[in-house]
Order: sequence, then structure tokens, then C-alpha cells
Amino acid sequence: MDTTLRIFLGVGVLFYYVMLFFMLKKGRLILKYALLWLLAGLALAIFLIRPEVLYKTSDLIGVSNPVNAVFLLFAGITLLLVLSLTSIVSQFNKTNRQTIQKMALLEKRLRDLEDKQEARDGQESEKKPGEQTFG
Amino acid sequence: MDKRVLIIIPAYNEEACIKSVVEELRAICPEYDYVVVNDCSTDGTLDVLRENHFNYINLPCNLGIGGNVQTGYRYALENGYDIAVQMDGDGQHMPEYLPAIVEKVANGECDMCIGSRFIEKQGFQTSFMRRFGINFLKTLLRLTCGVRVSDVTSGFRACNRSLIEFFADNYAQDYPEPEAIMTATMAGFRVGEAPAVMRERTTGVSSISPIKSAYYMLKVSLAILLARFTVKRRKH
Repeated sequence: MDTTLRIFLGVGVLFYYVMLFFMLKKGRLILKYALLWLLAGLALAIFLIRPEVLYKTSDLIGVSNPVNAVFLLFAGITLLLVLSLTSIVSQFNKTNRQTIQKMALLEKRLRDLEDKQEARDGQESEKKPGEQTFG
Repeated sequence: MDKRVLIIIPAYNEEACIKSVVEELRAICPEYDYVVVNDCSTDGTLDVLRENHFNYINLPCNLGIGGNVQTGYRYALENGYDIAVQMDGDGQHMPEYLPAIVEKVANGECDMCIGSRFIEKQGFQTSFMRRFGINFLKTLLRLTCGVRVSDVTSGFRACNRSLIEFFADNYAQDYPEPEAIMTATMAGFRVGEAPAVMRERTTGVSSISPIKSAYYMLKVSLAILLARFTVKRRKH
């Protein structure tokens, strides 16, 4: 792999990790969801530090130019990441729906209770003022 | 009949006809309870419900017909109803046919009874393309899980208590009617039919526009196939 490319990618990976770190620190990224991103960066870092790993990998998967193997692998990893995002969104969709339903049902119960209370208050005020009620 | 019956009426932008739908239901079937589920309508549906003191649930966000009806099933579950019936909020379904559908579930003939417009072929029979789509899904359902239902997209259906419990947790989203038949059958419930006559909607817009038809068919067919190969069949 070309040295210039290695330096360029190395700076990129470093920048990427600094960004990830700050997002994690500020709580804008939950570690659970950041794990895949951390691993993706790690894979790239390994290729940069030990290019022979990359050469072996590209031989193994039948890509003649190792740099192309980097692109291919990262296209694959990106696909996986996006898929995992869709899966997370799907889960949110489900929990969100359940929350909305629960909330609407609670709101209905509250409304029913308020109506009952109002009816009871109305009955009580109809009674003579000053008259005491027991029970 | 001593069974408690709840009519679930999903409503999305039905300000023009929801009042007449509920009033007609109460006049013809006063022995049934009902609940209107307003799916965050953008028109005055909520005001109509409030002004007339109807029994309603108001969803704070739009969930679509699946999530809407499921809310009704959860309400039926929480309030201990024995039978829940879905009935559209646009006046297509006629309350006159409710007792026949409820009866089949009440006497244990089936767990879910669908009101079908194709048994006696009376009333509004929908367009040719729609019927073609319905026949396709009908055949698909029969081939994949052996259930024989003629009106698979009908949203006029009654469920017993155990199916209410099932639907409260598992109800298909987006275009749920045919898929719900599939999941119910796979979960070991028996699905039956009773004849019903439907009217053509007079106000509002159908939730399935012509443009969405292709997507509808693809999504529903895939959902049915997916359910067939991923859900393990159970016997009750």
C-alpha cells in the first residue's frame, strides 16, 4: 500500500476516533450503538499498521489490488452498519407505538375518571347547602 | 346473550360521517359497547367525538390502521370484553350484520369471524382491480396456510377473548387485514366468515389510493409469505 495513502488514511482514522470519543463523552452516542463503529475503525487501523494483514486478506478474497480490497471491505461494513441502524429504528418503531397506545389508553382512563368526578360533584352541589352528608 | 361485546371503530379524518356511524350503531345495536379510536386525525374528527360525548380514545400520534385497531384490542383486553368487533369509521360496514358475525364467535364456531361481501354477492362489490387483488391474496392465503376466506381485506371482523389477547400483542401493521388472518391461523385460531353487505364510502378518502396499490400487494404478499415461513404453526 502506498505510504501517502497510509498517512492520509491514518489521519482519517485518528480524526474518526477523536470524533467518536467526543460524541461518546458528550452523550450524543450511546456506547451500545457505537460498538460497531468502533470496530469498523479498528479494522481500518489494523490494515494501516500491519499492511500484510491486508495483503493476505485481499489474496484470500481474490482481489488483485489490496487498496480495492479496503474499499470492498468497507462497503460491506457500511452495509452492515446501515442494516443495524434499520434494525434499531424498527425496534424504536415498535416501542414507540406501544408507548403511544399505552398513553392514549391512560388518557382515556383519566378522562373517564374526570367525567365521573364531575358528575359526582354535580350531584353533591345539588344537595341543600349546609346539609351534612356522612359516608 | 351475556357476553360483553365491544365494537372498535378506527377513525382517521372521518369528521363527515363518524357521527352518523356511531349513532346508527347505537340505534341498531344498543346492547353492544363501542369505542372510537381517533388516529390523530388532521380534520375535526376529535371535535365531533368530544361534542357528542362519544366513547373515544385519542392517539397522540398517527399510527396507521394497524396500530389504531390494536389500541382498540388493548382497550378490550383491559376492560374485560369477551368479544371485540372491528368496524370501519367510514360507514362502509352496516351494523345490521353485526349480530350474525358476533353470534358465530359467541357460540364458539370460530375464533375470528369476518363479514364478507362476497358470500351472497349483494351490495357494493368494489372495483374489478380490487377484486382481482383480493382474489390473489385469497388464493395465496389458501395455498400457504389452508385457510378459506373469501373477503380477505374486509375490516369487518369479530374476535373472541383469546384472540383479543393475541392481537393486543401481535397485530400486523401498515396493511394488516390479510396478514392478521395469516398470523391468527398460524397461531392456531380458527377463522370463519359470515355474509355481510357493504356500502360504498360516501365521504372521506380510502386509505388505499390507486398509486399505493402495487406497494400494497407487494407488501402484503411478502408479509404473508414471511409469516408462513417464520412463524411456527400452533394448535389450540
